[in-house]
Amino acid sequence: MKYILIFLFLLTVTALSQEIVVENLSQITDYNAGTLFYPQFTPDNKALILTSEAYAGLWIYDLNFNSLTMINNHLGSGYYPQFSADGLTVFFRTDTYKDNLKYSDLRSYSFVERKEQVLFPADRFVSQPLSVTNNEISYSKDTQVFIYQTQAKESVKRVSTLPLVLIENSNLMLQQNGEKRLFNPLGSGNYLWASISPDNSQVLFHLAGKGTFITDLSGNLLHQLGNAHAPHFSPNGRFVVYMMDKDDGQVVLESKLFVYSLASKTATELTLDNSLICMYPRWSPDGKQIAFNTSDGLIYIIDLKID
Amino acid sequence: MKYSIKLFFVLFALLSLTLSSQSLVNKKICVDPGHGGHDPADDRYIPATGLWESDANWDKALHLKPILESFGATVILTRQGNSDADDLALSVRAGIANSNNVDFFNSIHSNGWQGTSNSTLMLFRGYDNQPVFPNAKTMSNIMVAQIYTANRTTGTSVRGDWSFYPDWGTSGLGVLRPLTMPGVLSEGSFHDYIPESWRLLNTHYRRSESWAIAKSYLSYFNAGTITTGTLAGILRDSLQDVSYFYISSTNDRKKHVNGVTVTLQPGNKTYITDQKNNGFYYFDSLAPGTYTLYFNAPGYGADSATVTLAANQLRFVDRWLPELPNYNPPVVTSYQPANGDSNIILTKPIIINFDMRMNTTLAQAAFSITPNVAGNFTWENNNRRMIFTPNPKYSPGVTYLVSIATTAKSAWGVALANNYSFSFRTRLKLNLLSAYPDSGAVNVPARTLFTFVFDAPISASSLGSNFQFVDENNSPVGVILNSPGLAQGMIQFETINPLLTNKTYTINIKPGLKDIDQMEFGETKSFPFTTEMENYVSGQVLDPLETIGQWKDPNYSGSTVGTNADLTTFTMSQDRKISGTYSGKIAYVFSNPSGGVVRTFNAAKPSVGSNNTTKVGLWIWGDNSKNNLEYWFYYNTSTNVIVPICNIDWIGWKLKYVPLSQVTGTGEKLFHSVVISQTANGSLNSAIYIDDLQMNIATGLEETTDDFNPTSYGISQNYPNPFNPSTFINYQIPLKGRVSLKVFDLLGKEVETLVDEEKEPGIYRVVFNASKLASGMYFARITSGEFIQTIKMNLLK
Repeated sequence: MKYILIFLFLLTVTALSQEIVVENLSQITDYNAGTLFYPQFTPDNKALILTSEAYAGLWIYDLNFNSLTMINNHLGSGYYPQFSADGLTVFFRTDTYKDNLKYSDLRSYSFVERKEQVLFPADRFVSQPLSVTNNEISYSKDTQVFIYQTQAKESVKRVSTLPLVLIENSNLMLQQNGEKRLFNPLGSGNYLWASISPDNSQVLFHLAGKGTFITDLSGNLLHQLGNAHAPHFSPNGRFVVYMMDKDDGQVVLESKLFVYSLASKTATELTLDNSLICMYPRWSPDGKQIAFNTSDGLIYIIDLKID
Repeated sequence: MKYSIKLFFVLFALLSLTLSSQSLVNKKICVDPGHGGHDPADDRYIPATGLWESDANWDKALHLKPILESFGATVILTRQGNSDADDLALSVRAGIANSNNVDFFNSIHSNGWQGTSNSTLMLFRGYDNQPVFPNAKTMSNIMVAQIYTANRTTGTSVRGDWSFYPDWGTSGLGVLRPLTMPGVLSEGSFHDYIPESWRLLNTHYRRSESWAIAKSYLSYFNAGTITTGTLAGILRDSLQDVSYFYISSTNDRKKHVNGVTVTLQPGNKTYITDQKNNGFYYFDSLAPGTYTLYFNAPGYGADSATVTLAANQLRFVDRWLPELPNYNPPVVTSYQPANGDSNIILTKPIIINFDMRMNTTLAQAAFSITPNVAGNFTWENNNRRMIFTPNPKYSPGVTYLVSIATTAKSAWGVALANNYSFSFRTRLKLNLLSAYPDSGAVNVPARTLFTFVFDAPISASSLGSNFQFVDENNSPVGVILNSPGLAQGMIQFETINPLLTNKTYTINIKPGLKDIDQMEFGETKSFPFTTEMENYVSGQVLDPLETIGQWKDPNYSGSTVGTNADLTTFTMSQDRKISGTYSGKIAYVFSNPSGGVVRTFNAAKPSVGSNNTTKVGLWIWGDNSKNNLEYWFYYNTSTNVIVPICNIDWIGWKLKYVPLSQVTGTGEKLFHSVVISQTANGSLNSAIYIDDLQMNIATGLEETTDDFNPTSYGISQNYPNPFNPSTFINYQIPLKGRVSLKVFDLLGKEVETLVDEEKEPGIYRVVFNASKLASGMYFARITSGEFIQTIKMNLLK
């Protein structure tokens, strides 16, 4: 894979709420690599894990060597995979169809052994990995949350000690203090793009037709972000990056990236290249970069300077 | 043995139950009603019927959800209502399906295309024969057949969205792109085909499609079939035609009947057809069996039909409602020409409408015209409309009296209630209704569309010496005539070459000009006009408008209001162009008398700098709509500035520009939109073309310099090119010095010296007239100081 870190633009340095500054925009992949989507950084910030538009397959892009390696081509494996803390293992689900019904299993891939392992066999309504902590992978099947213990190599019906959010039939569920409960802080509706803040004290979510919000774990409304799509907390929990995409009911026409500051409660557009349709942004674990894909499947990284 | 028999019956009963019953238990489905809210920009409004696609999609989903849930399915609806807040982004719709890990996703839509089609289309992600999810194509084939059975469409199509929208590459439909599961987008029928649009206003017609989708899921998951059936149909008048377009292969030609009471026996169920002009009735969840339908409607004879209905069957029972005998005296409801009309062309048919079917023989016999004129009779609208066409023509300048005597009788033998008579006067001469340019007009574009509208089709053979176009020297000007316009009473033409600026031309119409009746114009009329004073020197082209680039459809911008969204568009067009192959066409239809705005946004937002002397603009092909033109700019990245440019009161190309001194704000300016603002007397239905967005525009009379102080030497490509016989050449010099600009032929022979003198710094334009040269390639070479540059020019005669 040819190194294609290209500095495309002489960017005007843009101040974001006087707290964060866009320093540079780099194109990471080109069409020779195929179209790739939904980038996520590895825990060491040195690579991106990528997938196809329909979340089929996993690729790892090494940012030091600028090499792209395919890990698998399983359906669904690119849907929010999770890394172990040491970054040596990635956990994901894969989807298969039998009699047109969707079955999913839970798998791991070891970058050391270059080996894939089925952790939980294919079954109906198995979620993607919801969280990974201390060699324990939380996932759900139907309405039950399980933990797969990597050392014991078994799944147990037990809840994680850390708060966890998940979507069940459009409801926002919160698992906390050993108990899972209906959360829905703004009433019923279609909840999606839910996550827990890095300090485990807040819940970020989108409610279709209403907007994106942050509440505390009691459901008290703290922040209203507006029509913020695919939101993602910065690692320090001070910011949320999100996309604002517009369409005509058929195709996406425009998408811009914004950063919301929890301190100032204001959002500022990341001034990038107007010609790009920027989607699905994700912070790097060190908080210094944001990766995103364009509508046509190219991967970019934004370098940030944070006060 | 007894045990075996019992076991057999138990197994048989279970098998029977399995074959006939249905279950979608443990299946999870995401239903996405397409669009949302009532924004004309993207919610597909049909003014003729009042239908919103977003309403119909939402209603279908509301019907579908409980049907699927009754079979045990878990159903996720993306939308929670049909307000503007429910117009969810495509990413949100797909995100909901993904978050819920559903087995299948279906976005419900209807289609639109010029109002002349009505078919069922299924779209899945991928190429036609290379679906991203093969199961999505499987489902598409199932669902298209089911919906086709339920809807009154004329055909089906199953396509991969990458194949169906080849211009989008592998982008395809945004709602299918991020799905982690198979998904389809169903276009059940065409909402802009008026008969279908009326049907889509009926909630049970929508329900019928919902049942079709539900059956598709039962089939897709091999989950059995439904044990009940549906009876439905359309009730039409057997004789009356509709007044709007219909597909000839369908029964949509005949008028629907509103307010019909349909009674179903056994069961004693009733359905009254709505007042929404579809004649549709519907009974679902019926046990298999034999039923009789009774139809009763005021003005129609009672009718009935007995049918047998099977399980899982949708059976249509359409009826032509029989006309009741009408023993009332017929009356004439309208006629043409109107009483007292004058200036009637000599071939004008006489049309008489009756309120009921007539005995054609007696009606024709009761018709008289004085003075007598021979002619032919034809009948329409099931013998309710009589048409008399004179043959030969009427005489000019004569008043005719038309009468219908009471000897005319209806089809049931009842005499006309009263005598009717009216008169009209035929025309004596050919009349001019409007002219562009009008006599004395000034500032007429050098390239315009001359349009003279008369009250009758023009005889081409009479044009000759009776229609003249001359310049100041009384020399004829070469034109290209729009011949088909003659049949519409228009003498419409363009000049072969652009007119010279600031010159007076005259169009003379002579008495001998005739229409197809050989009626003469009978007078001499002159239309002198003066062309605009400015010579435009094209500047630095920022966007040649050869591709759509980042120009957006007007409906995309949040500022476009008060328009018919389907008919308000931005497209690339070859109909008109200032250079290259294409220009941009902004077509629009205002839906209200005032308040309309059409904003065409260019997301590229090209920078036009910050120099207040810089002139920025586009070539605009105006259509004399009398609406206002505006350009919109940004400064400080996104602070909007609206700059009124002019009223669109011309036909033809004009370079409409504005100096940046008129764009408020400081710093760098970005040009981002061309906007048409509705005026009180502006046209509701109109179009302009735009071409060559540019800056650093120079203007002037003859050879000229502008206020600019160029920093470099340069010579621009001649315009127009190819040319015949004249073309402009622009050049600029930053320093005072001698300038030589000469033209050479292919052999290097000098054919003309255009400039050879000392010049001040500035921008200049010269005209190269090649009227005495042969077609071919020529070269213009400029020399000034050490600067030498040559351009190629193509003379095409």
